[in-house]
Amino acid sequence: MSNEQTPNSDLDQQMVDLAEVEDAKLTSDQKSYSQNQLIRRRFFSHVPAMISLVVLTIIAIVAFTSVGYGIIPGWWQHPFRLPRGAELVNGGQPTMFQDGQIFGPHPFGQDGLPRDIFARVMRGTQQSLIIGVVVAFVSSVLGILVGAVAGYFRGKIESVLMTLTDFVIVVPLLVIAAILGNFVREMPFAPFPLAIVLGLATWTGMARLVRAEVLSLREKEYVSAAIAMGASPWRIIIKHMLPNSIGVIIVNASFTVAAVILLESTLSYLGMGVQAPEVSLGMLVSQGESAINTRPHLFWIPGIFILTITLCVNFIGDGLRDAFDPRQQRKGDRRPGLRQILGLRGFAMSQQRRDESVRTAHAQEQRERSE
Amino acid sequence: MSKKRGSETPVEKLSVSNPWIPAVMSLLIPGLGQVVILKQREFGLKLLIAWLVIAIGPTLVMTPLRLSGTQVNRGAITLADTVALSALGIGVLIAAFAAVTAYRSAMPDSDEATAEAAREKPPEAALSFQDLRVSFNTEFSTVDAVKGVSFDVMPGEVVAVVGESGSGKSVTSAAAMGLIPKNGTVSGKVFLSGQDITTMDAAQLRRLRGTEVSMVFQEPMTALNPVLKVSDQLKEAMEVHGVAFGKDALAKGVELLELVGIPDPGKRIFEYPHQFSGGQRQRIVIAMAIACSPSMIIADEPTTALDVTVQAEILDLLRRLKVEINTAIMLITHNMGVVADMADRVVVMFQGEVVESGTAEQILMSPQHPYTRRLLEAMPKLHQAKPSATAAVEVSEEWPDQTQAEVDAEIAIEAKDLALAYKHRGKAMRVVEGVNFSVPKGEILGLVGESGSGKSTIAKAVLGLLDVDHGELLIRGRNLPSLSRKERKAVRKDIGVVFQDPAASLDPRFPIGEIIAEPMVVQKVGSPNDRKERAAELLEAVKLPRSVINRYPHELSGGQRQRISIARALSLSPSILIADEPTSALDVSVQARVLEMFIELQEQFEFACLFVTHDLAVVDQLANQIMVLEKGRVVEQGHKNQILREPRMDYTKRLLAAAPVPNPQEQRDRREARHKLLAAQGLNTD
Repeated sequence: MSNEQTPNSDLDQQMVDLAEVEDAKLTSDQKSYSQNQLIRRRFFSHVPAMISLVVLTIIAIVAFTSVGYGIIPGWWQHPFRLPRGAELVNGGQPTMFQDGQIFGPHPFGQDGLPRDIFARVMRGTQQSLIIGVVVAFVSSVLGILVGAVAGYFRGKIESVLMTLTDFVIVVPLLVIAAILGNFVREMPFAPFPLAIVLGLATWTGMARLVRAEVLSLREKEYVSAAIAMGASPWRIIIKHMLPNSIGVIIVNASFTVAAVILLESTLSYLGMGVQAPEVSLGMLVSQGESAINTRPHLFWIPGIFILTITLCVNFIGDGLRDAFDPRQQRKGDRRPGLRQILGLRGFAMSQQRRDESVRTAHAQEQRERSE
Repeated sequence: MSKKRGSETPVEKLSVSNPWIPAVMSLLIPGLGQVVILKQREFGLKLLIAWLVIAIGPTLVMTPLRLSGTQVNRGAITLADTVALSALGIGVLIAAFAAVTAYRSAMPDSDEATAEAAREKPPEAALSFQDLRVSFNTEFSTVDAVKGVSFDVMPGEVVAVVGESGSGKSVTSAAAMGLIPKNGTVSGKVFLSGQDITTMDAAQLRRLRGTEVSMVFQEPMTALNPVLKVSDQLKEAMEVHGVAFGKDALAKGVELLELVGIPDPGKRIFEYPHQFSGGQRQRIVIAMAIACSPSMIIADEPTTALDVTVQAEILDLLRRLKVEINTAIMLITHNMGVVADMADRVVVMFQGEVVESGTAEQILMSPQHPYTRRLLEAMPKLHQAKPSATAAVEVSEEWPDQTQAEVDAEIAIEAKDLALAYKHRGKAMRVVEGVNFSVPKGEILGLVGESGSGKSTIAKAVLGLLDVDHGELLIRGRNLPSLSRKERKAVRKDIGVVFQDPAASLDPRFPIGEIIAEPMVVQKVGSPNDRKERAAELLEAVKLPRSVINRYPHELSGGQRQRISIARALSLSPSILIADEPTSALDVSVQARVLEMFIELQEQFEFACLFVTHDLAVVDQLANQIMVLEKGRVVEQGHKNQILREPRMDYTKRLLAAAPVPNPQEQRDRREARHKLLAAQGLNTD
């Protein structure tokens, strides 16, 4: 209601009935925004999230097109595995910005075998992104299902499901992931088996959040109205509850992506995640670490990629949260500005006060003159 | 300084000059500038301390080393001096900025502000608004909430600010406390006991709140901290402002509780808020408000969340306090009855402007502005029997006719010895017991009672949201508890429902058209096109434009949403409608509109209706029969005229006596009559 313009003055004089004024506002208004449009608007005006989105998109496109995926070939000349007759160029050091060339044959350098690090990092980025997205999807579906059923039906179903959730939570995530990861290491179609298995270990947070959300939505009158009109539980969950908790779901899923990329890196670093002929960023870091003194770029480049990707995903999640729930936003005066930090807090206020006093003085003069 | 060392040390000492004095100066200038010129005492002090630590600290710590002056420590000394010197540099920079700021802000103050201050002498009033304007920046545009409001509140006077939602009355009161949110801009002046609030900083405002002005909020449940004892909260209020400490504060707290009419205050002061009833909690909030004897109390809808009988008690209390401690009261309300009961003067606000102001008698008896007139007309009136013989005869003649007609009509809802229970951890708690009623087709049964009387519980049971614990509940002759799931779904086709809260009763993610059509989708009635057509028809029936069909609930006002709720309830043309306080969250004029429409629709669709409400006047307008409930039991039940004109039971009489009317003289008589009634029933009149 507050986003509408107040009716103009002649309208005001005619109408003395609040109901009429409200109805008039409704018909005079042209533009109508749905909830989703409002969220999209807020998200697109969130600067860090938009920058992150652009960066992440570029990384994803480059990662998938450069070395290719599956049978689709890429535009980068070197494969990520050791090609026959590979030569060591520039002693394995990065050729980027060297000898007057921008990229050179091996922009990120080579390792000892010698394999091209650019191709390996791109391949690793592919794997990490795939794992992140698949895990977020699997864990969200599982978590939503468990949480919604537990929250809606309550009673025995809830206590069984929530005990199961608590059980999964108390076992350290890394232990579950390591055991399950070892279990699927021989399976084909890597890294999908690993991603699904990680999804089976990380659904608990989503389940709890969705349950809490459903519990609060249960008390809403529109849900009571739906029950009273004879709607089935599934209709209520799917049509009323999940769309209204979509904010929580999307935000949590985006943070899961970041967390899982890190989890996969940890597992691969420990040697229990993605296995040898395949490449992942965590594995590259662990391989690079042994040569940190001779070839530090082997360690730093994949590390920086992990950092960039998780940061981007986190910023996007932040943007989504602000868009879905603007009340949580930290914005405006709450965040101290440069002037406040420098001890000039009174400046803006005094400026404003002075303007106002001038304005009121003017107004008064005019009034006096007109009288 | 040490003289044992060779020639090196003195040279060193000279080169690293001790930056004490300039550092102190660098602090003093911006710090004092903040304190004196910009009136930011607290922040200026913090600035002083911070720079003291940063600039002088390292030098101070290094002094012993400097005195011993060994070779090893030279590096540390240099570091300390570098820090101090760079701090000094920044300090000078800030000093320059602060000087500019001070210069620029001091300039207009010198001539214009003093002239202005001379022109407008601070008035005598306890609270005075002068051309107050408040606007808020929202996501889409700026909204002017208050557009130039001026009025005074004199000491010992009650001024009622009356208006509906969007009138800016709450924003006006927030401006008086300096509580405007960050996205709002205030212009104009607000004087509180002669001090201008709009130019004060946070620390000054804090000192003022409590000692000069205090507030009583709408919701007594949330105004008290549930984890602290009442004694602690009262003591805190007094200790913060230095009125009394420790045992004195406790003793004064007991006194205050006695003053606001809490029984046995010496013992009860050590209880927690949840151990008090809603009315008592509001009394405690009032006790906290008067703890520091403020000259001004702002009461923002202090009785809206309370039951009628409790409301009357709280109003009695406020009236007594006004006389006893001689404070000014600004009463914000939408209830004209409360205004008539309390106010000396009335300010009527509409869409951010004052449309009319004057004494209570003027405004209520002979309103000038059409909006005030409309507001008074819209207020539902309780037609009570005058103590004349003719009215009584008429009523008793009318009554048997009605019962005759009822027998013929088809019975839509019938309850026989109904008992309902809430299950809590496997234990059932009976909240309704021994209720019998029947609603014939085309009639409205009003369920009346205060909070906790079980009236909404009965509505829930009819809707099938709550299982019947005992007895029979017949919907068009079929017993609801004994039906199978499938049969129940079929029965629900016949029942429509309208809930209380317009904000929560519509799914925010559905467009209006889908909301109205949802019952048809659930019950698989009609094709998508039929449903759309029906939704448009219903929108017209509730007098909203067809174009609303694609809009979303958040774009509509409370009254419009409630009309959508009614449209949804009617989409399957049910023969039964359950209305659970459908208008209690709405403004008076909007409520009048919705009730009018409700009556029209009822005549058109001829549904039987269970109308749950706490407002007797609304029931008088709508219902054919009334059932009065208290604590889950039926107190009195019968035809509207009998209950409202010739109540038999004490409780009904009390309920009727407590409802205020918008006429100061009549209200005064009613008040006295109520006190007499309470005395006759042997109850405490406070």
